Amino acid sequence: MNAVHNIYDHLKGDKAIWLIVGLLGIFSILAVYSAAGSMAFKERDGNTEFYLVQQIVFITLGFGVMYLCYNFHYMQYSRLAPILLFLTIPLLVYTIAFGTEINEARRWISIPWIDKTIQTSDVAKLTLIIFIARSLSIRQEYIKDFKNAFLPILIPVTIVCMLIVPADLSTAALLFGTCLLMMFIGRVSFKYIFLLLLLGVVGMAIVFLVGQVFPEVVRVDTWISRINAFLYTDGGYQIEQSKIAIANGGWIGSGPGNSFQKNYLPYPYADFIYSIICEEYGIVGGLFVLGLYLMLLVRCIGIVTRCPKAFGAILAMGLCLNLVIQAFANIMVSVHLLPVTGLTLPLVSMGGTSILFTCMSLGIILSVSKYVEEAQEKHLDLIQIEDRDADSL
Amino acid sequence: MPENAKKNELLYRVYVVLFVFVALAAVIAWKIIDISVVEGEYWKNKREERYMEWRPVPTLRGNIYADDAQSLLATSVEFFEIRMDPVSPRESEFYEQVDGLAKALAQYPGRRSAREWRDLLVSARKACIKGQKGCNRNILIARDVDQSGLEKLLSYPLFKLEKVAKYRGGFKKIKSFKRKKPFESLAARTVGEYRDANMVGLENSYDTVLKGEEKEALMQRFPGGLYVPVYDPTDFEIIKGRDIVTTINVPLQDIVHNELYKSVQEHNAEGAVAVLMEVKTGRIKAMSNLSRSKNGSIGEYHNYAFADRSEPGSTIKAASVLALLEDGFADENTLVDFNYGKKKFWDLWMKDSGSHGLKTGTLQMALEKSSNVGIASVMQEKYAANPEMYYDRMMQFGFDGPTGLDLEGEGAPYIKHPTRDKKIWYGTTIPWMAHGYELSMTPLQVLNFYNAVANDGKLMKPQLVQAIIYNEEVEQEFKPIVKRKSIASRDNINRLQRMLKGVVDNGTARSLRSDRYEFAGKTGTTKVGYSKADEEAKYNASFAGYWPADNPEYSMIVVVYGLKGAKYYGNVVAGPVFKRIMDWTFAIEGEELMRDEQVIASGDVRGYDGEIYGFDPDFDRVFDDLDVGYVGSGRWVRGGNDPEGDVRAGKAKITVDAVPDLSGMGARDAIYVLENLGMDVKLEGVGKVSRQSISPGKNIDNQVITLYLN
Repeated sequence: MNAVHNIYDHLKGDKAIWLIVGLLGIFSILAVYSAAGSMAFKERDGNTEFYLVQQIVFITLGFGVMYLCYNFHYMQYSRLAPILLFLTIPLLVYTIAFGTEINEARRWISIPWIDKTIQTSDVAKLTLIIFIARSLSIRQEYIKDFKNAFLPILIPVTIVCMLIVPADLSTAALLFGTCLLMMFIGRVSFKYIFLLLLLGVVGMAIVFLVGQVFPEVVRVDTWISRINAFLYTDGGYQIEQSKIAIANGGWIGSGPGNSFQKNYLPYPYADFIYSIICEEYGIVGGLFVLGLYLMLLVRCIGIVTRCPKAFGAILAMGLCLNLVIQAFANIMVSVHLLPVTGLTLPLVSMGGTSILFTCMSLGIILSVSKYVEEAQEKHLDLIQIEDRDADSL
Repeated sequence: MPENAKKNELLYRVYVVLFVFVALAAVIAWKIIDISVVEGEYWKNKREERYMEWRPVPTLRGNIYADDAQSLLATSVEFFEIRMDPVSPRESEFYEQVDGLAKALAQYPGRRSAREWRDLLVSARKACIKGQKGCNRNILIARDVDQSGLEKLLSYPLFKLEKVAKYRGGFKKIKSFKRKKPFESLAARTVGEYRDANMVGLENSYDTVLKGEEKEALMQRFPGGLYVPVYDPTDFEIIKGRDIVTTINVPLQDIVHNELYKSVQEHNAEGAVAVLMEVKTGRIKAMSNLSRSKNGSIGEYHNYAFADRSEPGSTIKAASVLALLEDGFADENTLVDFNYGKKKFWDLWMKDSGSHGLKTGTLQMALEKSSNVGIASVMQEKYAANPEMYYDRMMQFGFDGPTGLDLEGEGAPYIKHPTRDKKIWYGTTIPWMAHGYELSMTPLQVLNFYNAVANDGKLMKPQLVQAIIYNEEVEQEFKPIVKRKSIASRDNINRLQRMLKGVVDNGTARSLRSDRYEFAGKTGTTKVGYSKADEEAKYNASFAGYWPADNPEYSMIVVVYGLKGAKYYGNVVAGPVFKRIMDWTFAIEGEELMRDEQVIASGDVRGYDGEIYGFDPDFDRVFDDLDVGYVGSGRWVRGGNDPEGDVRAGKAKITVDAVPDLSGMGARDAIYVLENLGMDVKLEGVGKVSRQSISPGKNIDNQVITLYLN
């Protein structure tokens, strides 16, 4: 108990967020261990432990990254944001042109000498959210202005999202939605938000037409078939299997490791991990995980309501929204409320580098919450702390 | 805008966002409960339709190789059953490509017209999606599909999508293996049969080695006892059994088989056996067991050599003579009673087979002329009082138990003991045992005695398997095992060797003499069914011996069973087979000598001179070992040396739709190529393909093709 106390005393920032992150990490290890059982047989000669160890390694690494980001002053990102965004754009172009193709989508670039691939959209997501948070916070005084406030935000959002669209519509849509919500909370005029929404629709239409002409550039056929399956069938094979998994679980689930449907679900350890959680831990377990994501949102909203206008608050909100929207989208696919997207359950699904980026987001959120606490202790506004630190950094 | 209003605006916007997410969470929660509780039964029932079990994964049974560790005596060929899940493909892709698929399926595997195939697939899919009767997610496409058929099917519309993503084309393959003997009847009985029950031969004795460790996979059961792995089993690392390398030498086995076959045919015999052993090691280089099936065809159906115990006849006289020598009762010059070839022992008359008109002669002469009376007289005289002494000598000579050959189920020789078998021990027992009756043993057991004589008294354990190979590496090697350092004194062995050489030089085997080499051996003729007067007399003719006489390399026994015609003597029926096989071994050795000289000659110029045709990785390895430059392009390559002595080979023309030209290709590669094309292969001869019964370019239509090797 002493050790726990020590950790508790040592960790600053929102303890509830720390707890949520910890619980998600535990769920992740349990669910991946179980769901990868079938895959382990397939590829590692039945060595499920390999995936358990791999996931523990990634979660541990992720928590390490999270702790680093938590210790890092988030105001640093504000300063770096424009440069990072400027670097992101050529990176995305490079991915489209020369990226590694995995599962017929070109979303990855290989990092030399460590033999891992990263999704460049993960990088873009983070930098764009930081950039938008910064833009929104420094323009709060004249936020309703079109030319001085809206345009400088609109342009990077449009460019980055358009560059992600060809390979990964889901991620692009997710990022676009996150940015819209950030603007909404950042008090951008309704009419501009509607304008942006309209722009999004027009953009989609253009992409769709491009896809019709150059099917090898944009995966329009995949989207159409997924939407068709969602609208006109029972959801297709995967969704059927997912529902059987949920039904198998009942209220309290069949117990850890007892999933039967993992043998039938195509990506039980990634896209459909939520179904496996429902099967093994029941409705109770499923709702608990859903509740964790909702609680994460509630805690971040707490930060924003306490310190409106502060860069940190908007940043934390943006990062949190991105995670929560992705989580909700993933869960909604599993329960047949959305077409199949290929989005994973943040932090819980198996997958190496994406866990690292998720943990980076969570680390930044925790870093913000640490300074929110400091501000409260000193009866200051977060903006005052930010102004103070911006000069000293 | 005042600060407060700004804050309020932000707050209400934030709460709108929160509300949206809470509402979404509520919808999700409702949906989960809806699926799990409200529709729960419906979905759970869907699961029970799919029954699963852990079942053994088919393993790739190890190969049985000849002594070169290359020629395949038995191997497993993989083949597939192909089924299709019509629901698995996406809606758009299915309807776009199903016509093309149906058209292709009508060509191969056929069975239905394009229209029928299309109707079958479409109606099954529709039924499944609507949950109606007639839903079949496991439509049989083809059975017994080999690798090339598999590749063909995977090039079809819809099935092609499997390469993009698993299950996307609805393609299911169920793998299994068929056992093949590329050399067919050659040593077939020694290699044995692999089947669910009553396995025989090496397949049986080495079953646990060959089959390897068993593993299980989760499989789904479908009506009709069909199990389909939930995951594609071809994705696993194939579970491989171990390979065994036998001592069987293909060229020698081929010769022994052919000579024996000819003899059975010529003499209208019931069957025949020949076992060829390497003297120094006890390794069996060839073992042929021919008998007639009910319809009269000759083949390897019964293992005489190993399992058939019978009265050996005159070949055992060598053991009788050695007993006399060992006990000091006689030597080659001891005079024995021939009694003009006819003598009564107690109540039974004994006769010699040929007339010699001798009253007495030396023991040497008795053996050379194979005089039953001569041998029996001296044996009776010396051992009647002390029959145990004779029994003990027979035990000493290696007849005390099974030879220990590495096949399961060998019995011990049957030799009466004077006190333990008192009830059936008669006054006639010693004289009759002395010339090969009233005792029985397998041809292999007789041979092992002769081999010990040839090996200067050293008794070897006969050996059929020399190594076990796992993952292309020797895991276990079986060195020759000496069973007994010496079965008799060196001096007496040498005497017997000289006497057996005398049988060839002056005695019953004189007709087999050669002026090119010397050998030693003993003929035998056994009357069978003699106990029943009304039965037509049948004879087994045998010959056991070794060569070359001065430094023996091989020993061999030949027995031809159930002879009824005019010719039944060992020297007339079995002897010539022995002789011809022996001639072949000298011929082969001569050839090898020549080849060795060539290698030495070409070793100076460093390079290769000749043509090649076969599997690229093999050449790569071989020429690398030989330090010869090699460039091959393709999987199957054909080419030859360039002026520098380096080897260049281009892609060989082997396609799935025509019989390829195989001349110049090794037998093993040729069998592999042809069987993958769905043809049945017969082989004649040894070496490389010189001629093929179906000319290149002809259409492939599951024919039998004969390859003539040279």
